Amino acid sequence: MSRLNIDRRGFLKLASATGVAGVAGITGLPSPLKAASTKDQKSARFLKYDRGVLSPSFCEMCFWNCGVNVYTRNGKIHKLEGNRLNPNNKGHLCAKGNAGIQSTYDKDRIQSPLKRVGKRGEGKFKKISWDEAFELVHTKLNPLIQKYGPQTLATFMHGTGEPYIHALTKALGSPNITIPAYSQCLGSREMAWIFTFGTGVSGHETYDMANTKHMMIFGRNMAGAIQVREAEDFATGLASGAKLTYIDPRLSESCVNATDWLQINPGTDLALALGVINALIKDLLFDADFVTKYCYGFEELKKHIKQYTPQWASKKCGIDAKTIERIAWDFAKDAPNVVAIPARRMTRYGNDVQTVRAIAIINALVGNWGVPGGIWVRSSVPVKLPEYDEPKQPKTRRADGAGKGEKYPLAPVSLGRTNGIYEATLTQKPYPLKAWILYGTNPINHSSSGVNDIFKAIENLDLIIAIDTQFSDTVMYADIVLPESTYLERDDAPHVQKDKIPFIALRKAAIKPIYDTRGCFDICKGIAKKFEIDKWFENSPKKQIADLFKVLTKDQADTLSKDGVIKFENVDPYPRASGGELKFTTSTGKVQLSVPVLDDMYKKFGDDFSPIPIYKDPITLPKDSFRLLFGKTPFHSHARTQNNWVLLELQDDTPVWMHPTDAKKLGFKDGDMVNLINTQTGAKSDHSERLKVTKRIKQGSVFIHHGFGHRTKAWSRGYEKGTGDNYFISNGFDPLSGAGAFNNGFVKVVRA
Amino acid sequence: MMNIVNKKLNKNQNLAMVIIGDRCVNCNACYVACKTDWEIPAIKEAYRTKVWEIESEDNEGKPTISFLPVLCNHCENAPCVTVCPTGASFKRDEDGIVLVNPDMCIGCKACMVACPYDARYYDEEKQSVDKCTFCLPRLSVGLDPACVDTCVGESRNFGDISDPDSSVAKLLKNATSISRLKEDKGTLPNVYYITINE
Amino acid sequence: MNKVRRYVQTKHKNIWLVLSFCLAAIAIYGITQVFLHGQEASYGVSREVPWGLLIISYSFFVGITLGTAVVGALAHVFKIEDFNIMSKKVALVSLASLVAAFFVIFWDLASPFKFQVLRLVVYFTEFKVTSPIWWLVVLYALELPLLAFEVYFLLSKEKNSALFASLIGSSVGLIAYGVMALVFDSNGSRPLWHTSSFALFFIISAIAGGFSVVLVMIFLNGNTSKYKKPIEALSKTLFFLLTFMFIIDFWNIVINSYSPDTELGSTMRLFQWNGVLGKNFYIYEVFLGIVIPLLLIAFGKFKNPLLSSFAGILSIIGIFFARFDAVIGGQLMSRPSRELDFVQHSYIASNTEISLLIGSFGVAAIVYFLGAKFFNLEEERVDEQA
Ligand SMILES: Nc1nc2c(c(=O)[nH]1)N[C@H]1C(S)=C(S)[C@@H](COP(=O)(O)OP(=O)(O)OC[C@H]3O[C@@H](n4cnc5c(=O)[nH]c(N)nc54)[C@H](O)[C@@H]3O)O[C@H]1N2
Ligand SMILES: Nc1nc2c(c(=O)[nH]1)N[C@H]1C(S)=C(S)[C@@H](COP(=O)(O)OP(=O)(O)OC[C@H]3O[C@@H](n4cnc5c(=O)[nH]c(N)nc54)[C@H](O)[C@@H]3O)O[C@H]1N2
Ligand code: SF4
Ligand code: SF4
Ligand code: SF4
Ligand code: SF4
Ligand code: SF4
Ligand SMILES: [Mo]
Repeated sequence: MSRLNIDRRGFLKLASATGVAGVAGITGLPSPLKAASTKDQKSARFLKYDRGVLSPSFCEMCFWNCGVNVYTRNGKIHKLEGNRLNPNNKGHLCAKGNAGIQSTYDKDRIQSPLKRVGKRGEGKFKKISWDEAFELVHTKLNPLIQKYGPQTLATFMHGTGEPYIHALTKALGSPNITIPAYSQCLGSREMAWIFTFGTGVSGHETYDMANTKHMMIFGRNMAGAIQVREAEDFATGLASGAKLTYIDPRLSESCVNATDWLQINPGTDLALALGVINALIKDLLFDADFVTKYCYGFEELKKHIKQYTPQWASKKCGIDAKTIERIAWDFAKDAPNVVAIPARRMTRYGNDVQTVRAIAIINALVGNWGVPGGIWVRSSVPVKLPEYDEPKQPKTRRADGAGKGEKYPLAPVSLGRTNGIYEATLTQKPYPLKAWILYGTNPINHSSSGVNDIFKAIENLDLIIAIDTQFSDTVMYADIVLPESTYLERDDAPHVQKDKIPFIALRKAAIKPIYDTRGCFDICKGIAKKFEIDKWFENSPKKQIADLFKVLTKDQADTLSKDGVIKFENVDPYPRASGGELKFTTSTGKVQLSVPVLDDMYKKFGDDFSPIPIYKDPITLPKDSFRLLFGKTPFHSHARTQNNWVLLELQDDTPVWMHPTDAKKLGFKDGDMVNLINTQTGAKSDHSERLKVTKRIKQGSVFIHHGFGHRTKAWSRGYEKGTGDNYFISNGFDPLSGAGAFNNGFVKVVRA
Repeated sequence: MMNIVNKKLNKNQNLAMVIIGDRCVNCNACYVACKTDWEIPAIKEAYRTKVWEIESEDNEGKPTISFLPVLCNHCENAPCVTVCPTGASFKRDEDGIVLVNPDMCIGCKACMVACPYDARYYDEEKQSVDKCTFCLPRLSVGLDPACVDTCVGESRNFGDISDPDSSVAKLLKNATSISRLKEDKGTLPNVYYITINE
Repeated sequence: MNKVRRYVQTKHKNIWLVLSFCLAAIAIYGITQVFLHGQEASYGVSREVPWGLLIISYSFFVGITLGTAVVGALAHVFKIEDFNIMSKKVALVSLASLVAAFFVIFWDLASPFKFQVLRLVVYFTEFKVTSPIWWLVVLYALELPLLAFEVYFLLSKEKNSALFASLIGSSVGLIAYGVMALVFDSNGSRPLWHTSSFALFFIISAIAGGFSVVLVMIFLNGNTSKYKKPIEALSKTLFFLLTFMFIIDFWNIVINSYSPDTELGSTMRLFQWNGVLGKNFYIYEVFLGIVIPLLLIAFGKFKNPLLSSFAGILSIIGIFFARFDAVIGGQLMSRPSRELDFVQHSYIASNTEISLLIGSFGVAAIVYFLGAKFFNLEEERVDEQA
């Protein structure tokens, strides 16, 4: 303790007694004993807080769409706060959500429509008016459509404006719609869930972590790859004493309170899951009632699973057999209030659908469907929402092999295979792809641009149109740039979410656009007008909001306009617990432990298509190299926030994680600067990184965070910060879903 | 466990933050919420709260991590207040909040070196040293502190621990462990770290 | 011959003044930087290391003020004859050093261009008796006029008043410097400062600095044969003080840096040979600043003006490094909680800070030479020799 640290009050007493304060009195200065009143004056400035004007919105810093209250003072946005009533976040925002303001007030934004004047990628653009821009789109795109047919256009979309791009694409006559959320993200997981339960996990996942007794998580980084409600539920579950078995080759943020962390061999989750299923069945730990009543294919499963003993699994996944058995027992003990959770970005090893299938089967066997702490059942909003006509999906064959009769018959045509479109653009097969429209998506940073050579693909294009808010690496290659207003500057269609508690949320522009930008609807309508297909664009976001209010009761309407969100709580997310009958929309009407639609394909194409998962080893490591693992950092969204100053303060680099044994072998020590070399292409990272020597990563793998390594000079802060994982990941795919497989990328690590 | 709560006469409230260690997920939403609300300079050094990631190893040599959110402790015995030559740093009698009055601060930084927790920074725009205010401006209109309001893991809790009915007093009462940072410094912090599970 | 000498020395004197202004002008670089980019961007200080070169310089200059004031007072007390002229010069150095201290601290305090420092006007209204810095300001606010009076009395040959002013001045100086040491020593969160010997070292080294300065001054003054007795007295005392410093350094730092992993121990490890401050400490502070001077003084048998003044120069440099090591070393290691490892921060003085430091030597020199010119001290010297 400080030696002068005498209690203040005591000291003052002492001071006045000894006359020190007296001196102050004599000289006419205020006595220290009056300090309290001066203090009040000093505090005065701290007793004011102008909250400002509230506009309701929802977040667009990632795709989770948390409820946001936007507060403005004198026309300037001052603060974003979570909307307590929104079930997506219950009043909380993550770091990125809190940093949303910066995306609007960023001078590096695209400030007006632009036309490319330099070489592609060079970033030389000329400012044009919106009308010139729409005219330009028409004069460039129309000849291509005339020459090659409308299918020569592929569109990419990710974000709130998706429906308008969707409509525009279809109205123009192209089938090549692609949404990276499918093939770059959760497509394989969704397919596996649909095979098993008839419904997907969906973007807003249905795991009841807040009430669970045990969560078995297969590489879904709940705490680090944040979606607010999930992180909340995760924390609540753990704080209420839930067990957590967290499976990951890397000790991620989610391990902080894990009961068990299983440092699995990369790509072998399927073996572990099969081992767990084996134990559940062998030791009669499954929910026999549920299985008999609701499951299809149990006998086949029982027979099939015999080969996959925990001992067998142990050899594959590196977790010892005892642990596997113990975990199966623990899990079953707390059943049905338990949940097994697959990764969300399930574009990993090319066995992704089957891996998630096995995880889905674990859930089925413990009978956790519609049970607290298990998997809850979604409901739709009990309101007859206004419906709008949409152009039909053109019958033309897609270029990416998605759809009936194609290579990936099960891949949905409404989402498409983004990776397939790159390939088709590169090969110009099965037909010429000459134009891209990109809406809120950034292929250069979100795919294996290193291996795929997306830059070569781009050379085949005669026209690239980008609708974005900032100069992403991809926007730099665009011929025409159409800047969208940020989510804080625009009205959008109401956000309607099927959920545990279904709800509708509003987004109203909090401020007028700062620059010459427009909302996606207006942009699409502007283009559509030139093509005379603007009859599809009669329902602006404003009108959609107005229409919604027409179908709501007065009370509902009042709530929605007052709160910015309306929840419909009169639903039952736990039908099994409440004794109700469960319905599954699979072809058999049951939970499918074995998938009948795969029977034929299995016969035709082999093991990968097996109706019950068959284990296959992951691609093995080339000599002297490391498997590159990557993942989200809690402080950034994808490759879109690395120019945000406040988030850059939290992280502006991508240290390379390496196990001490590996580091020793290579003679590296913590803090050394290294570069990565792509074993397949030989390309070296253009930025050297700090080596983080840590047991937190499995031997044989290295890890970096996703989203960095931007080469766009227009980003004054984010330019060349960190290394881009996209230059090193693999360009594989899952044979069932056709979605990507990124985790088979290998690198060499060399001293910088 | 309540006995370690600071008792101070003629103080109406004893405002304190109670951080549930098991609930922090290291999202740093608190960091950004605070920086945004208080328009803290856009430099890495200027922050009122942040979260440390503590990497270590268990007995078997397995790596472990934990997270430690830190902010000004609004110490009962605040060395920053003691050393301040101008009275710019002061502790409010009514609730114990430690503040800096930028009008009085001469920037001698004695308080910065005196704080054992590195809770202060110099704000060039304000021409003053600055620090966490427990969001007194927000409290004054009935809001929670910004970092508490946004806390994703609901790790941060705020209130008057001298009121036994407050949520924070209850948390302290039911906690399985309570600690404060660097208690040996004799500062008597008003930020408590608790665990609620075994 | 004398005429020529006088001419040269008058010229000489002006050259010194011109040089002083040039030295001070170096500060313009730093001042410009602060004006253009602000303090935060121009100084090497940070959140974790808030006190840097300017505070170090401040503590150095006020140390010289104290040391020289003590020498002056001792000369008065022991009525050392022949020290008359020197006394005036020493008093002037004391004053000049204090002005330089005020100059550097002005740049350290918040927003110099907005004259934040004017807040000092209301400063005394908050009676902050618990704050060492408060006392520091009060005491140095007193010290400045006291030193000015002393110089005045010396010049007006009011011997008794001069003696009185000198005694008061050096006592206030001593107390003030004690408080200066306390600014660090009372700080419970910086283990390096919060040790039993820290304040002692601070004060002793300041006094040693004063003795060194005076030795150097006597040498520069020429005609050293006139000052045999003072030189011996000064050398012996300096020898004693340096020995004392050596012992403290040895016990405090060398021994402690091999102590177990305590808060103090981990800070002290900065001073091990391979620590960031190791070279500073062993080479500059101990070897150059203490060991070599001790050897030089001893070699000259306490009588050799050249060796003693050279020892003085080295010890002044050593003391500056000692201040640097102490002030910076105390801040480099920190952790907000016991659960965390110590984080070692870094501090590298910026060019701005360095230019302000150099400039402040210029400021001191200007005050000194202007004063000397004004009071004809140099003339007197020449006369003396004549
Ligand atoms: N290498 C690698 N690739 C990956 C992943 C990975 O971890 N590593 N993760 C995959 C996953 S999970 C996903 S979901 C995808 C995501 O892939 P993308 O959806 O392409 O994600 P981002 O990289 O964030 O790019 C989004 C673009 O949207 C822009 N944008 C942001 N807000 C708005 C807006 O309001 N309007 C408009 N028009 N544009 C806006 C941003 O500026 C940015 O350029 O990436 C996948 N690809
Ligand atoms: N902060 C932040 N949060 C986000 C996003 C963001 O960009 N930033 N994006 C959101 C989106 S769109 C998505 S899809 C999700 C993605 O969320 P997650 O699916 O959780 O995605 P990742 O972060 O890609 O990977 C999580 C973990 O998988 C581990 N892993 C790698 N290989 C294996 C393996 O073979 N087995 C197992 N078990 N684990 C493995 C990695 O080490 C990593 O820790 O995050 C969402 N949340
Ligand atoms: S999780 Fe974060 S970034 Fe995503 S919507 Fe919610 S607040 Fe925004
Ligand atoms: S934590 Fe530091 S700044 Fe806050 S009251 Fe305590 S000593 Fe002062
Ligand atoms: S920097 Fe300001 S608040 Fe801190 S001690 Fe000095 S005057 Fe007080
Ligand atoms: S209480 Fe307020 S000022 Fe303090 S850290 Fe939290 S948000 Fe920042
Ligand atoms: S907001 Fe809460 S959960 Fe997130 S890092 Fe801060 S304290 Fe931890
Ligand atoms: Mo995703």
